[in-house]
Amino acid sequence: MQQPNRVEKLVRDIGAAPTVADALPLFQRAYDIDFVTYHLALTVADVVDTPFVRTTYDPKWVSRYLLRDYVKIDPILREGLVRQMPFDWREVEIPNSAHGFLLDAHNHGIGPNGFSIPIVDKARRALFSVNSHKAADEWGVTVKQYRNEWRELAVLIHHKAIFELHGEHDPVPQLSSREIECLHWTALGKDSIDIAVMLKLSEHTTRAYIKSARHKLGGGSITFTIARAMQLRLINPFGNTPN
Amino acid sequence: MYLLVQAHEYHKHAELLDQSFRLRKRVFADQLRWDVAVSGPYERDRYDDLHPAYLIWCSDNRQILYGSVRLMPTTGPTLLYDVFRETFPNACDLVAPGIWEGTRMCIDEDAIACSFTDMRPDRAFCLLLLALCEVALDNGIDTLISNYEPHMRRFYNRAGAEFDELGRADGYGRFAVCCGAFEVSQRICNKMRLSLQIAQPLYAGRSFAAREAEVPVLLTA
Repeated sequence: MQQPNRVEKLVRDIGAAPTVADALPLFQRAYDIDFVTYHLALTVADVVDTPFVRTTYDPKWVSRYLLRDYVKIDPILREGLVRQMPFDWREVEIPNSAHGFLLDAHNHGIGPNGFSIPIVDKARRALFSVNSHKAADEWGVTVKQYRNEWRELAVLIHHKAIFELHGEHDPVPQLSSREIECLHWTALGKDSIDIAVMLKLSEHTTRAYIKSARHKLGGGSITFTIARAMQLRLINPFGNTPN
Repeated sequence: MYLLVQAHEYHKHAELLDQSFRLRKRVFADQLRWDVAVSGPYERDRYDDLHPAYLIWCSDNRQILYGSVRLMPTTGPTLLYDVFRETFPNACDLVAPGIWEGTRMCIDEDAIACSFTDMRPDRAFCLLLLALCEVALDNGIDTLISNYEPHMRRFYNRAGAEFDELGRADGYGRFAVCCGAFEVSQRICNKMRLSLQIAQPLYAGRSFAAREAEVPVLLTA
């Protein structure tokens, strides 16, 4: 039981962090990562192109990156904003033109290994990246063990960034009737096995509906999701939710 | 061989992708008569402009296409949600990071008959399905949402896949089109290998780029 508790606690802590900048160090400590970066590419055309970037890299490196316009060279960012699947930095082919950049990064304390998670929502793209000084083998093991947790947390941080940018005007999310039924029964203490029987679905699909509802309500823990769904009057478990 | 082609590598596999759009036109427009967007010899829609990933099944020399399927995350715009929202709004409304949509899955029966003389089309389709399961598992996907005609259920079951049918729509093609949620897990993968009598993984997995020794393997993002 220790594993789910650890993740649930982290989801809660990161969910409760007031800003993305507060959330990144929590993530970094939890996984013994050296640096974490969240980069939201703003697709909206504006007078000034202002991507939303938060990172734990040394401010000296960040300003150098900006001054030298490395955003145009950085092969991870370039690929990360068109790829769909999470990727290990070792999968990326490095063009000759980026060698100077890599050397400079190394000289500024950037670790040799990394993993990036593209985030795609209905209108935007973002990239969540972690960087490490661990040796290749050890890094491979870490990635394998945690990449699915990282993906969940990356999306949670993405929601936080959208919230930070656009304030509290999120419309009430549209939940399907299946999602509402699943939340209703979860709120009443049923687990996915019970719910699957009642809804005549497989347990796997039942869990998919619960995951989907969690995602639509901000990607927080199940406790948060239920509380939020009740607050938004999407469910009323002690009345009679399905209408 | 099976390749996962993402947007940063489209240019490397332009010929195979071209064959894939042609195959889709033959299968979905000509044979199944689905209401899909055809331009010239290709079937391409607006979702193909959104940098989807394609699983490509091709000959080892990458000259002949045998089959393909298109993958998109449900957190972004998806065909099934947009297209079926009116006919069965609740069915394709699953949205979460580990849930992906697989559409336009098809095989080239002629090319397969030429290269694999004793392979029946239904087995070929099942092999592509297993490869899809392997690729999905390798990328942390736990559920695939897909659309299919009712008679395909038999093949899915025979291949060892497990899925829940979430809904169906009439009037899209000659037959109804169903929408299902497929479990992706190591258990399912093993079960499919057993059903199909496949001992080795079909998909070779991700590969790391070759690095010159003197180049520091350091990046940032």
